[in-house]
Amino acid sequence: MHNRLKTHREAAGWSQGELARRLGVSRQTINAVETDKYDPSLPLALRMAKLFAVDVTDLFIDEWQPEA
Amino acid sequence: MMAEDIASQSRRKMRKMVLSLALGGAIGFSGAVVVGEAIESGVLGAIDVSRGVALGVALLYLLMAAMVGFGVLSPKLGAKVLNVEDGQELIEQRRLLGLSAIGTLAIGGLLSVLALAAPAGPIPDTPALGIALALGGVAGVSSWIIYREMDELMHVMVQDAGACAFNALMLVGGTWVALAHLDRVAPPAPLDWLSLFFGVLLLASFWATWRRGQLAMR
Repeated sequence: MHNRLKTHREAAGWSQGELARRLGVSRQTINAVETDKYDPSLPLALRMAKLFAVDVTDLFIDEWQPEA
Repeated sequence: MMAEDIASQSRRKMRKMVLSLALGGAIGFSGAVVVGEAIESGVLGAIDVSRGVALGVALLYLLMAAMVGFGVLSPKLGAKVLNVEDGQELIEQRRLLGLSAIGTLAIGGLLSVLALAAPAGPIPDTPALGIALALGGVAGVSSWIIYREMDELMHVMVQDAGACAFNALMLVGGTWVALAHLDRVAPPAPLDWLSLFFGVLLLASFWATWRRGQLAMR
């Protein structure tokens, strides 16, 4: 799943370490999410969206579409 | 990001990778030479293939413990060889990395003691049992604390590594004992199983770390 975490983080002027500290996770977690190597848990995704004041769907992009 | 910044970062990452590999290689090679000479001199007793492999796996654990421990004790210098962004990251992770170094050291020590235990090795069996139990306890407790305190990515990597290690053990260990059962090969010795457990776990951990992009130099 693609995401716009890096874009939002850089717009906020935060380093990976700063974002990790605010979310209570390791820098590796932020790095893995930003490089699409790891999809965060739902609670963490919700916390990320809350932190940047956006919807989860603005942060995480799922290409899947329901069948018509 | 400017092209110059990207080129400079690439050079820094390359330097770090070369330094890290060189340092790990130098320490590992030196350790292997020392152990090899000790084996040849006979001071370690009669080291057969099982005991030699166990010592080899133990050396890998001891090497990792030394490198991580070095990073914990000296974050600034550690950041030059370990795969972290900077020394501050080592300071942030000091507790977990310190526990990890202790656990890894304990596993390396445990395998070493078992490999060097009587009757073939110089360590009498009763002290060897006591030391092995104590080191196993240290490894178990440190792993338990780490597991309680790690974040969700680390939990996922531990689960990935556990699943991968189990499947690899089924494949390698299962094939080995099946062939031994059919009298095609010699059965694994008890120490072979321990070397297999810890060796496969180490490889699976690297695989899980690579899979989540955490082996890429930072």
